[in-house]
Amino acid sequence: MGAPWSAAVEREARDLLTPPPLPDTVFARTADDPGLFEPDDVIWQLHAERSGVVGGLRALLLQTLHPVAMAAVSEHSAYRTDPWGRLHRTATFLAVTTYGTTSAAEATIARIRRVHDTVTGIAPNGLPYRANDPDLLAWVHATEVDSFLAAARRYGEHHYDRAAGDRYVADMATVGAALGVIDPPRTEDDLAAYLRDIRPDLHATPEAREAVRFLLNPPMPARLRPAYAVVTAASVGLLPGWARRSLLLPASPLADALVVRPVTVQVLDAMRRMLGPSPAVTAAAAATAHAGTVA
Amino acid sequence: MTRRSDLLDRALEATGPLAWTRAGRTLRRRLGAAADQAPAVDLTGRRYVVTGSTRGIGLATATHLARLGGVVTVVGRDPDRTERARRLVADATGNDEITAVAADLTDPAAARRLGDLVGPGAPLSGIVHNAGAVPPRGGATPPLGAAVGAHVLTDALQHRLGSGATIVWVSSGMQYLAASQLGGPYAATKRAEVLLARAWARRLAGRGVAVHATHPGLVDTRIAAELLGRLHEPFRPLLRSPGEAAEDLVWLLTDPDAARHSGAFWHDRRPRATDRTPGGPARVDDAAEALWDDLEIYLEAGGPQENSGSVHQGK
Repeated sequence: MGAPWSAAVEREARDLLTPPPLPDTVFARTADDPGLFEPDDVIWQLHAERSGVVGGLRALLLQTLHPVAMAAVSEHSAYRTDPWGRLHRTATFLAVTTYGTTSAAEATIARIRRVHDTVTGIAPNGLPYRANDPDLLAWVHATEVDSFLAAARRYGEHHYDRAAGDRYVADMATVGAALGVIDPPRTEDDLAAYLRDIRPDLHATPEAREAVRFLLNPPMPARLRPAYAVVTAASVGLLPGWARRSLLLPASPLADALVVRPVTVQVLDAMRRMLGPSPAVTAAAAATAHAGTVA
Repeated sequence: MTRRSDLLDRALEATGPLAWTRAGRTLRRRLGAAADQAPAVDLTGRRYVVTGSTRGIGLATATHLARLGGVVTVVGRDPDRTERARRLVADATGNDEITAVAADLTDPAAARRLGDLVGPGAPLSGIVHNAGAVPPRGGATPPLGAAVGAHVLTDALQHRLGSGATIVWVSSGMQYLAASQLGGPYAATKRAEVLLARAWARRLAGRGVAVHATHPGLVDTRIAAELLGRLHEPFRPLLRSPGEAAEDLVWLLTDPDAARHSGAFWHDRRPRATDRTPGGPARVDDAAEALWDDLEIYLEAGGPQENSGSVHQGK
C-alpha cells in the first residue's frame, strides 16, 4: 500500500483532514482544572483510534434518517459549502471535550449551545425544530456514540469488550448531558433500546438521500478519492441493515469481509502514518506527563 | 368546484382508504377537487387550545397556528414533554405567546381542571381536540380514551368561546369500522368523536360556534406506526405528513364557508358521509344524543375511578 501514496497525496490529505491547531493551554490539565476525563477512561483511548473517520462518517450517514434533524442540517449547516471545515469542528469538539481541561471543554460546549440557539425552524413535514431541543440532541448523541464504538470495534487497534463499551457509553453520556441531552444512555443496552424506540420516527426523505449522496462523494482532490471510497465503504458496511436499506445503500457482506475490511485497515494505517497521532492526543499526553512530574 | 372535479372527488371517495393516502390528497388538489392553499390568514391575538400537541399532527397544528400569529395553548400528558413542545413552537415561529398545560385527557377530572387553567383573557377562537392515544384492547384505560376528556373540556370551556369560534375533533376514517367492532377501541373512540362533534354542534349553533370532526387521512405519526406495526415502514411513502394534516385542520378552523357545515365529518376540506351504511343523518343524530346521555350518566357516576387526575401548568 506504500506506492500509491506520493508526497502530493500526503500533503493534500493533511490539508483536508487536519483541523486548525488549538492552543496548548486547552490541554494543560491541572488538579484545579482536570478535564472531564482521565487517561484511564475508555473514551481517552477510543477517541485516539485510527477508526475515528469511519465512525464519524457512519454517524453522519445515520443522522440523515431523522427528518427533523435533516431539515435543521439542510437549512442551517455549512456541510455543503464547507464539508471539511464541518468535519474539523466535530473533531475539534471531541478532542477538546475528551482531552482538554474542564474549562476548555465547558467553553466549547457553551459556544455550541449558543450557536444551536439560533438554529430553529419548521421542517418540510410541518414539525418545528430547535437544535437545542433535547430530543434532537439525544439523536445526534446516540448516533455518534454508536458509530464511534462500532467503528473502533471493527477498525480500532484495541479490543473493546462489553464492559469497555458500557464505560465508553457512560463517558459519552457526560458530554451529552453537558450539551443538553436529558438522561443520555449510560450502557450499551440503553443505547440499543434508544435506537430501537426511535425507529418509527426515522425515515429516509429525499433530502436525506441527497445528503448521503453528497457525503459519499464530497468535493475533494481526485487523488484522494480512492482512499475516501474505502472509508465510505467501511462506514456503509458498519450501518445497521435497516438504515442501509432505507437509504438504498448496497449491502455486500461478502465483499465487506473479504475486501473492505482489510483494505480499510491499510488505508487507516497509511493515514495514521501520514498524519501522525492526533495533535490533541499528543498535547494531552505531554500535558499529563508534565503534570505528573510537577506532582 | 367544477362538475368534473366533483365527479373525481366522489370517485376517489369510493376508493375508501386509497383516497386517504398522500396520493389521494395530492390528486384532489391537482385536479381542483380540494382547495390547495395553505391557510395564510392573520390570526394575531386569536386564542387556540390544541390538545395532544407534543408531537405529530397536534404539534404541527400548534406550529401552524403560531406561525400565523395565534395565541396557542399546547396540551400534553407529560409536563416535561409539554414544556418541550411549547419551547419548540415558540422558538420555531418566533411567537412568544405560547403557553403549556399538562393534563391527561383520559381523566375527566383532569380535563375539567384543564378548562379552569386555560388562562383568563380574550375569548377563545378555537379548540382542537387532537389528543388520542390508541386505547389498548381490553386494557384498563377508560372506555373511549381521550374522547370523554375532550367532551368535559368542551363543557368547561364553552362559555369562553367567542362568536365565530370553531371546535374541531380530530377523528379518523377508522370510525367507519366502529359499527362492525372490527376497529377495536380505537375505532370506537374515533366514532364517539364524530358523534360528540355532532351533538355539540347542535348545542352551540345558537352561539355562533361551529363544531366539526375531521379525518386527517393516513398521516405519518406515532399512532400510524402503532396501528400499522410492521407495515409502517413499507407504507410510509403513502402517508401524509403532519404538516399536510395541520394545513387542512387550520383551514377547517379558519375558513368562513366551512363554518356553515357545523356538525359535519370532514376529509380533504369537504364534508363526508358519517356512515358507510344507509340510515341517513337522522340516525347519526339519534346515536349522538344516545352517546351524550350515556356520557352524562357515566360522568355523574364519577367516571373512571382509579385516575389521580394530575394537571400541571407550565409557563
